[in-house]
Amino acid sequence: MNTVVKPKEDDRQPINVGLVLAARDGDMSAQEALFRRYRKMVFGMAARLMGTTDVEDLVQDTFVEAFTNLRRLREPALFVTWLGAIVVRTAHNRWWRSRLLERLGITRSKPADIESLVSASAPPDMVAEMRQVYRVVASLPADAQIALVLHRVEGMTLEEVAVHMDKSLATVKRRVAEGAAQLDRILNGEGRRLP
Amino acid sequence: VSGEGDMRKHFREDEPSPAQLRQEWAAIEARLRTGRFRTVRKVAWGGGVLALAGAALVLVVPRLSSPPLVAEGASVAGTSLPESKLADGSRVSLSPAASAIVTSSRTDRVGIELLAGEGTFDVAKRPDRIFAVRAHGVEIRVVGTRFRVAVSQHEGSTTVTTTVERGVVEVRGPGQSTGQRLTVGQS
Repeated sequence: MNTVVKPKEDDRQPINVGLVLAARDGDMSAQEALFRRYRKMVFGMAARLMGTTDVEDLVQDTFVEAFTNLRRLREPALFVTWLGAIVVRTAHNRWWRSRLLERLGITRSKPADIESLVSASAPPDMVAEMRQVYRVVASLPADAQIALVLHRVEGMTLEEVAVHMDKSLATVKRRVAEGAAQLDRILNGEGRRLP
Repeated sequence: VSGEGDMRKHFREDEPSPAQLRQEWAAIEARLRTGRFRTVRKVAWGGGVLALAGAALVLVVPRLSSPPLVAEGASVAGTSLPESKLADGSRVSLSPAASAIVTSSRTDRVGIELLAGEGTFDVAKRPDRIFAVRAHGVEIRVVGTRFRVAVSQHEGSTTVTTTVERGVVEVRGPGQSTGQRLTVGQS
């Protein structure tokens, strides 16, 4: 991936490069500090990607994966983007496994639990739109599902989505367009129009 | 409809309690210290084939970045899959009840995660790319060789067994930054 992105100041906190370097050297207290700082970000992103708040395992897998492979992070200032990419990859793998189990008839997929995700102060029309978005998301292939959520819900630029998904910009554009077209069809079918 | 990103601010962002944070970190720390899965108590490398009975044989080949890694003849479930040829010329054979997921298919890296059962990997020689098989936190990296990886469960512990049939592999345990090189006859 050659696309260059600026470090994302997620949670409005500057990246503590020293902390990342210490964690990379195996300092467990530094790793714990990073976990405490970015747990909320990871949990929120995982919940919005999976459409449920039942994502503790995914959060745990993400941090284990991150700290286990932190030595591969060449630029510590990009830690947040790198961590976000692990969330996306982990969610993608889980999605595939759940689809597999579903195909085997072992499990049945659960619909997105929007009520558990939405803030109590969210206006009703926004909640309705969220339901529609996640209904569309559930019907899409994994790549389009993730691309749409990252772009539409997380508010990432297409370039940022490409970095997080480790895909080309062209592929991401196609995936987002695929999801947007499906969303448009549903909204139009229910009497609403996209701008 | 709302603009991109407007939706995010309407999601709940509950702060976890200090006790919850401690509990979650304790679980992560335990996995980092002992391995990918808390049930992993030992990693055994050596000879021997673990025969596992089962019904389903699964090789999942997700659509990944180009060039796609295609397992010719791979099927999702319920049918016999004696051997799959990957796009780079490597071959994967899974035992009954085995399951594996192709996690990476880049020109510089091919990644397969063996979830359960036994897989035999006949890797085409291509020095410019890494061929890595992961099984419960254990990673086996190769250049060109033939080897078997088996995951077995016994009384709550998980054992990953690597058997080299040809060439050299590098095995890294969970959290290990350096690997152990195994050749034919070594364990």
